Amino acid sequence: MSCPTLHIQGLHWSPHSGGQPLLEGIDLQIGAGEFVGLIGPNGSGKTSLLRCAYRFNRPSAGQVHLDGEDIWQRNPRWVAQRIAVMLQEFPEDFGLNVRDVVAMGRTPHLGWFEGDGEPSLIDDTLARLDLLPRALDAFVCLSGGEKQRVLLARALVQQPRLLILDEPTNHLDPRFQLALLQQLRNTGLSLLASFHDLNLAAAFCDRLYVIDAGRIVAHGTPEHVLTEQCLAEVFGVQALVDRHPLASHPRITWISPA
Amino acid sequence: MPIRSPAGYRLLIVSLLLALLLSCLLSLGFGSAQVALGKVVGIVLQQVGLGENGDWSRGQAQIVWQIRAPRVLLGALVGAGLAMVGGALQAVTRNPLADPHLLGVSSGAVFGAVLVVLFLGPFAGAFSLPLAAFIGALGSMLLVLGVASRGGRLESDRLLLAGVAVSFVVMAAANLLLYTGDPHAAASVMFWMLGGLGLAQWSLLWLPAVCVLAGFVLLMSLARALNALMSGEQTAVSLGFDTRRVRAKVFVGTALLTGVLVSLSGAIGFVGLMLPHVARRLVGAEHRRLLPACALLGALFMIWVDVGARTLITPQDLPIGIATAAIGGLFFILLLRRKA
Repeated sequence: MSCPTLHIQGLHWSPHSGGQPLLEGIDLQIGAGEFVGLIGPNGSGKTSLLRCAYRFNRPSAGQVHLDGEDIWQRNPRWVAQRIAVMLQEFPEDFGLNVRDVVAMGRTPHLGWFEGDGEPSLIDDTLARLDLLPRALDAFVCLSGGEKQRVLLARALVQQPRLLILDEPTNHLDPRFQLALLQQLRNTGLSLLASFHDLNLAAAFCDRLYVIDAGRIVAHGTPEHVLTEQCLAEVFGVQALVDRHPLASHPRITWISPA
Repeated sequence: MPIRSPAGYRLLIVSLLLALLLSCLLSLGFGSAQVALGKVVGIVLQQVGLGENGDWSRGQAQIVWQIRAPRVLLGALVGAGLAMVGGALQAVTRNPLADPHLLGVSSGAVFGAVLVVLFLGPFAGAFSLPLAAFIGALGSMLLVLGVASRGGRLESDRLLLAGVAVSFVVMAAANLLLYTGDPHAAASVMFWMLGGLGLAQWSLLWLPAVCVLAGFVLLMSLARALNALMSGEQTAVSLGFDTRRVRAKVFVGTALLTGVLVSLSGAIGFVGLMLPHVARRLVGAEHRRLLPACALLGALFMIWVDVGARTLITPQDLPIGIATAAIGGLFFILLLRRKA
């Protein structure tokens, strides 16, 4: 088998050096073109783990390899040329326009005083995501769905090998949730995304990792991972798991305690 | 609505440059002794070796070239520097209220000036006060950076708080010395508290010129990083920036530049706070476009405020800080009302 795009081995991380680790013994792999979902209850360490993967959180033990190279042996720029991140972090008060925000994605590929370079790439990406008519509008004036598309466009012009997404479907209407995830699939990139909505994760991910209290407690295909027993143990909620009536992936129905 | 097209932006920058050039010339005529524009142009041409003697008196030439010209240029440099520093600091701290004096330099400059006036005397001749103000600014800036850094990391929120805290303590010390000291000393120190361009002279202009230019080059080289940091820490890291290093460069660079400017012109308020907001409305928040606009607008603004300061209560000089603060405050109120 070829070398995985992202390979995390025995990773420990704690917010303060010498403190109690919030992530313990994490092993995770993403193959080329694979869509991997990360699920787990609030506070289980999803965001912390994603931050380890894009070289924000420095692990106290273990390694993170990208295409076989230790990302902490490389500088942030090298990593940014290969990993793009779609966050819930917006530039609010300052008034960048849509094109400015998207053009920022080229940053890791450009020198200090270089121009934006390849305007066609930016324009093509804007066009592909139906953003061209809004290119010169202020980012703050966009709707939630449009903002997510702009951030996706920025991630795409970064031309990464791996795209990391923290709760990409938050705050989106069902239509935009499905459209965004479909667009992500279509990119053909390796993807690592955290999810709250397990049904969306089941529908779109090739494999899932379940994280609970800083440890990976299960991983595998959605059918393999999303069992009633696992959901009860990790999320503490009873669920009915059956097959989606129109597709082959599992469907989860939460059973609210009477 | 910010200007959208690159052509529009170029046009704006060229117009601002022309306006700046024109303002420099026009403003030379204003003051307690008015000099007509034709004479001003003649004097300037003669001084730079392009013209002959004209029908102006030696006194007029003296006033225009020796007194007003350095003052106008210093004003332009200080305005450009402060506005640019304010724009950059607002981005790295993600705080639209950040301004150059946030790093504690102004109170440090006042403290340095107080020490010279009350205790040290003119230890370095005519340069004693600016020099002491600079050392004071540098000292209090180092104090702020020291208090704010934790484990070699400078965090914006801590920096803002440290700046406010250190400023208050240093200002308290300066005020205590002033209050218990010679009452005449207060008048000479007032200059640094209120700000002014009266210290301008040709022999000192190279210093702010070099510093403002260096600051501009530094900040322009960090323009993309400023864009990213404005969006947030995570975004900046995910775009490949070593955010610690970028912040350290911005904070130290802008503090040094502000220190130099304050030592020559005192604590001129509101320029660094207000002009970046005006510039953003004109050209948007992208820093490669914003910083040049900030610098030009800052320079223009300061030149004309200074014209007001030296004509309003002639033959006296109104401390320019009073004028900038009044205009700045009123301007902000106007903005607020219009937005609402």
